[in-house]
Amino acid sequence: MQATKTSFNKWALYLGILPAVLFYVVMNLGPSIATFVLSFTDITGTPGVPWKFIGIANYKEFFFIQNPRDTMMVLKNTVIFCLLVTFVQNAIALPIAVVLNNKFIKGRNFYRAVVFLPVVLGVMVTSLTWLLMFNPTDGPVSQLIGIFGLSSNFFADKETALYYVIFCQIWMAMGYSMVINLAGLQGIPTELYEAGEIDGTTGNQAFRYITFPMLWPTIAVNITLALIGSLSSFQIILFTASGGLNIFTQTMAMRVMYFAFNLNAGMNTFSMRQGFGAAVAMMLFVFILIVTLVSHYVTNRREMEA
Amino acid sequence: MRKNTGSLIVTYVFIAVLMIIYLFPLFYVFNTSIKSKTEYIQNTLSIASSFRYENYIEAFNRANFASFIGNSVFYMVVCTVLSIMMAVFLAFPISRNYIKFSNAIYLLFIAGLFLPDATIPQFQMLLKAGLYNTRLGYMLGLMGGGGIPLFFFVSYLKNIPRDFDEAASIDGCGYFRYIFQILIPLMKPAIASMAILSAIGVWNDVIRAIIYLSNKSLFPITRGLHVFTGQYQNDTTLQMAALVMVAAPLLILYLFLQRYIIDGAVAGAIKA
Repeated sequence: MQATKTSFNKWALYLGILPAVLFYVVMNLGPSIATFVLSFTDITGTPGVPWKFIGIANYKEFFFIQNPRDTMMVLKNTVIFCLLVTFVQNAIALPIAVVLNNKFIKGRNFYRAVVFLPVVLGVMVTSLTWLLMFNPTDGPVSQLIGIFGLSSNFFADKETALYYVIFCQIWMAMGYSMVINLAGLQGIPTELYEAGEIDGTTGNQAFRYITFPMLWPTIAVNITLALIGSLSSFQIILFTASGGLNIFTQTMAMRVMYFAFNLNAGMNTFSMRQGFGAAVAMMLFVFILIVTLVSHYVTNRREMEA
Repeated sequence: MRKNTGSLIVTYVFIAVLMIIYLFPLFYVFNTSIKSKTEYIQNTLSIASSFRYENYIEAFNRANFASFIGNSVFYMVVCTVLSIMMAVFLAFPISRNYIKFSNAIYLLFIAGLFLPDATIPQFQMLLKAGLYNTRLGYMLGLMGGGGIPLFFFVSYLKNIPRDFDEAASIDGCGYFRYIFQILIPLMKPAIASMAILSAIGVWNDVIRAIIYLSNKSLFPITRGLHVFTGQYQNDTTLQMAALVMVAAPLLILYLFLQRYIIDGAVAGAIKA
């Protein structure tokens, strides 16, 4: 751990890092660990109200006391949301990146820019845009499916609302997966394709034997990011399907905010149960950790085989 | 890849569908925002007969956007400048290994990416400190200390030769002067990327504003949009005019600084 010699004043160097380290420890690291502690308390969001340690009561409550149908619904939604977002987002972002990396495509920079745009516009713009698109009475999608004699309440339909939310999430975040894939594709040496061409490979073969294996590490990063991102995201659920009001679209991340900060369509029906929220956050954290480790293990093994 | 008419057609159809899914909703929002209310009710899909800019003026005034925009700009400048400065001053000694435990400190910051969500205790802390519903409390909750900018700067600094450091310090250039006058100009592209991403993050934030602020006069713009759309639920054209006004600065920023934004986003992902 010996530091490299420098003629700069040592004290100035340490003084320089102090704000960042202090800020990080006080605002990020400390609170992060404190989430674990608070999950064993009945602390609320109201200042001045006394609170105490209640052991694992919050965890018990989540699994055994609250309406088991709600709990199962939340767990099910979390899994569906996470798997569908991760799978579909990557399954579409890969061909998009491959196509838009192709020099023959005219205006490819424009197409890339368009697909990435929602990432910049953010969750509020995305949500309001799709609420308008999915307006059940006279929105464009409603009229489109009306041609086929179909109708839907979209975000208010308890059977399908989650899937519309998932669609919005993918619409918003896919550009992100795409640009990561594009960065990966640009790292593949063109010599490989030239060599392939001499050997007479077809486009499909080139994809299967050159592009895909070479891009696999990038895809693995994308999968991990999408898994973590989809497990921790709740904003799109909150703004499209009013999050809390509709248990049919609640995921664990949404549940944390629902209990800890009353985040729903603006109804304050109970006090902010932050101890309980912290317990759900801890369970979500463990869940994310397991999923990340499994995904890391699986994608690495795939890398070995390739 | 060789040119093959059949696959080229499939490719362009694929792109066309993609463009419709991405551009139509945005066009539809814009089109709605310039229609009159009756025009919208009569036919949601019709092309606007004229550009009703009055919608924008009305939405701007009724939503009190002037105050929200002022707040947002203030939050953007303070949060961005402070978080970038903190990251630069941390990244430099770490990338050069000028301080003891450089690696350990770096790992400590990486560990933050894998820890539980800190929002609830953060809120408790700011509440106890009397910073709930204050500008300072909101910015403390919003700002990141390290994270992606740190990783990005550390790897960027590795490409700036160490000889510069030595040459400067031997010539008697103090550390802080060196950072501000020599290093920061050299890091311009990296700083630009991170600053833009940070600014966009602040502009787009709603959640922290919901959690930490209850006083409307402190709200940033996107939170203001959230309130406005809640109040004017039946006034779709006004809602959309407000939406376009929130999205427009982002769009303009994106048009001009796309390279920096995408570079930053990609680098952040690969490092993490």
